[in-house]
Formats: sequence, C-alpha cells, structure tokens
Amino acid sequence: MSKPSFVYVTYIRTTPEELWAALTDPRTIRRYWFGMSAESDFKAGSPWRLKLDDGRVADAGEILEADPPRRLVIRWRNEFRPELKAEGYSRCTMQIEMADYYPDFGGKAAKLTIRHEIEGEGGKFIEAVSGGWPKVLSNLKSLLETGDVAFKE
Amino acid sequence: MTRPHSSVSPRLTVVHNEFGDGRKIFGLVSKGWPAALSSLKSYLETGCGLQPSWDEEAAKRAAAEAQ
Repeated sequence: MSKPSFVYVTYIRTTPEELWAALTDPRTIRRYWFGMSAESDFKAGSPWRLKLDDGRVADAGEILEADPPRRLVIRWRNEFRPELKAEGYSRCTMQIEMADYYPDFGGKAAKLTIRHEIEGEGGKFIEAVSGGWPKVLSNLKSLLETGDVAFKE
Repeated sequence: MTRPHSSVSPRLTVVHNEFGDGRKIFGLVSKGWPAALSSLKSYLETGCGLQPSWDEEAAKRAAAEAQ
C-alpha cells in the first residue's frame, strides 16, 4: 500500500528563477499564503517555520534539500493542531521545471510540482494539506501572472 | 484586464473517474488536466492562455487563429 500523499501540478507564466524566489522569499510568501510568515534561509540543513498572523507556529521542520531554482525539499510537521502533530513529520518536495510555450503565448512558463507525503497513518495531515495547497498555489499563480492574488483569506 | 477579487473567485473542482481498465487514459488525463486548468486560469485572469509544447499541432493551430 502506498503512503498517504498529495500531488499538485501547476503551470505558471514566469521563469524558474522568479518562481524559486516566490517560494523562498518571506515577503512574497506572506502575500499569497494568507498572511503566513515563513522563517528560514532556505538552505539545506536550516530550520524552517511557518507562523500564523497571531505569531503562533503553524508548521515547522527543516530544509532537507535546496537546489535553486529547481528543487526544494522540506521536512514538515504541523505544530498547532494536536491531531495533525501526532501524525509526525511529512516530506514536501517542490520541483520546478521549464515548460516551453510558444512565443505567441507569452514565451516560457514554469511547471511546479508539489508532492507532499507522510509515513504511516498520516491521513489527517494529508487531508489538511490537500485543502490548503490548491488555494495557496492558485494565489501564487495569480500573483506571479497578474501582480495580485485570487483570495485574501 | 479585471483583477481577481476574493468575493468573486469561484472554486472549480474537476472529477474525472470511472476509467475501468483504461489505465493509459488515466495517465494521460493526469498530465493533461493540470496543463489545461493552468491555461484556463491564466486565460480568465490575464486574457491569455498557456499552450503546452507537448501538443505542437494544437499550438500551431492556436497561433494561426490568434493572428
């Protein structure tokens, strides 16, 4: 039986470099991640935290791999919902690839693949991120393509 | 171009199932839907969709129509 996982693929009209910057710059993250603050230098081995508006730590872990602008892997555990924290650490892989488009359609675009998986019985955690990622990534795509997000809350 | 607003942003859910033994089709649509839905979102928000390079013929047709 395969372990619980979530996979989402989206194509964004931007460059891999700009997409990497948006995924690792705390000020940009705050704009599309519903006010969440990221704390990390996004280098392999560094700690990583996502904080709620009120300062509580929502998620925490460490950067396992950082290969700009292609691949970011985070060891990730929810910290503020006991039933999710109990499921332990997950692994989130963000993969950026070039997707070539025809010049008439704005030149190049980047393909972003988010894969979030957890060992054991992590069904509740994966269910939670399955609800969150589509909103976050929808906002990220809107922000990079239009300069504004789709959802404010 | 109209910018998206939280009050009017709809949520689209696509369910594609009942493949039966059609595992090949399942693999193909799993690649196709993310590209198509990404393009749809770009089109609605910017007026310009995305044309993935894997469908070269469709891209040529679309480029010809756009001229």
